[in-house]
Amino acid sequence: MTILLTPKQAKTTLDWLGTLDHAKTPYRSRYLAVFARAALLLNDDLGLDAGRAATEAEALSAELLTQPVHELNLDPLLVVEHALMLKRVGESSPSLDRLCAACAEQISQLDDAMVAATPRLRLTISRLRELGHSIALPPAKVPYGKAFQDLSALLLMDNSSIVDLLDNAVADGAAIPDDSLNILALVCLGELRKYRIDFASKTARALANYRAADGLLDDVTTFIALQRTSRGKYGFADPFADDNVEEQDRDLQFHLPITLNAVWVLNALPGKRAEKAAA
Amino acid sequence: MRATNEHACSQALEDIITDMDRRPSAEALMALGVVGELFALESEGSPLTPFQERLAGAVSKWVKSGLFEDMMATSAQTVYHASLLAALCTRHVELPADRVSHLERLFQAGLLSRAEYPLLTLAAIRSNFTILGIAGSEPHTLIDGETLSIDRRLLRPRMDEYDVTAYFVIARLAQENPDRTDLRPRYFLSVMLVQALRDSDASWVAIITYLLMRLQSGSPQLRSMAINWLLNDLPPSAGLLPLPHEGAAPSEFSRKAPLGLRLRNSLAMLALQSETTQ
Repeated sequence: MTILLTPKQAKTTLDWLGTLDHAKTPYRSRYLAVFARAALLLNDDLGLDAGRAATEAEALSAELLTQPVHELNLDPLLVVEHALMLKRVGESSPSLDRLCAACAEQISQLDDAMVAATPRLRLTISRLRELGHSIALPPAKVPYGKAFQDLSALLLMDNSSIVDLLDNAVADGAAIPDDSLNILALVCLGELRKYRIDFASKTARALANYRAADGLLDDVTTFIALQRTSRGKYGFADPFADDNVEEQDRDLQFHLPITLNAVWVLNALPGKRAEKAAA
Repeated sequence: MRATNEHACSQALEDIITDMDRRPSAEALMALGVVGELFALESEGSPLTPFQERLAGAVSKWVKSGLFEDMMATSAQTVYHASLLAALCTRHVELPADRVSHLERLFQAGLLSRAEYPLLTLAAIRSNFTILGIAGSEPHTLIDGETLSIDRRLLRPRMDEYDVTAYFVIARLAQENPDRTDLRPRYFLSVMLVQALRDSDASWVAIITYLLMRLQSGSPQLRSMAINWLLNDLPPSAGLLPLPHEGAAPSEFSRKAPLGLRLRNSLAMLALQSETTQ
């Protein structure tokens, strides 16, 4: 079995992410870097310092709370997932919790019809509920169960519609037939081969909620794990591409999102692999 | 739709055979060779038999005239396709014993199988990594651990004709060695089929579905969805299927043998149509 990530390798990635968390980096990118570091520090398989993730979340969240919200350009789902990652290992950050509360407050003021029509918002609400926020989850505007039954349509569905479907299903804890999970895992692998790591990671994390397509998910995880470079960042950039992109821009626009998705998947999926290896 | 495609396939086969007759070239041989790879997987009673017979007739002529012998003795890159076509030809036509024994002499002397460069390059790459202290599998290993080496291409973000061709070789080895269950691919071909369907790439859908059918691999559900897409969702066309979408860097096959690839993929579709409507 391919070793997905050793503690030593994780430390190199942590160091690289650390170089991005400084005052000259836009808040959104700093947040992504701190989130990615948390995904590593809170990865059970690596035995790193989980408390450090809480300290870093607290430091950045406290700083963010002093900024005008509309200038932060943060993804509420990421903020809430961050708090959940900490909660799952018994850690917390009061300032991050306040950011989540601010998200909950804003979302609760939205029109129900709008929330019902926005799967990502519904998923965010379900995650907020896991954190203990009492916020109503309106049913999805369009029933989506049948979309999982029509395998041909599912196979040919565009990526954003697949993400919407999965967001709704995970938000509701709805069952997905095994055949559909297998098709989605094949789609996920196919999109990975086109280097659509963002989509593939989202799909893989969603599929990890279901006990199926394990063999396929192993390959998804392995594929993503193999995108790690010796400098710790994830994603192999084409050195022959004539795009004149500065290294710092490439770090923020190319490597950081891939790294975040990679370490998040490795945080969400390796437990199952370890269980299987031990069995 | 089927009759018109049959006509287009017949015409394309005639065009390539005429090319080879008029001006023998490595390109024309490659075009016929990729079609031969498909024929190799067909069994008796195949709907493609008339095409196979036509090709066998042409190949026997080239074997008898000494053309194939000249090609194989002077250009190592022709040996795989030329020997495949000659072997297939014997299903329909008897080759003269003196020609075969002459080929035997050349083959046993090592003149007709000396395309070692790819294998040597792989061995040298392995040696380079060994010097770095990095172990790796033997370059000629077909099975790596419990996995077909080719299946590892799943972890490479690119799909091109080499992947398809590699599985044709695997399919043929599997067909000739039915007891070797280790030659059964995992799901790389299924992933390729899903990619092709999502890209509406009719050529690759046809050829990969064909391969999955012959290898009895992939889920029956997925294969049936692909066949349904080919038969019901594609607009009718009188011509051959187009070339696969290979993006900015087409493989050597697409550059050198475009008509052969289009013919092979269209014949695969014909075979699938015929098997589905039986």
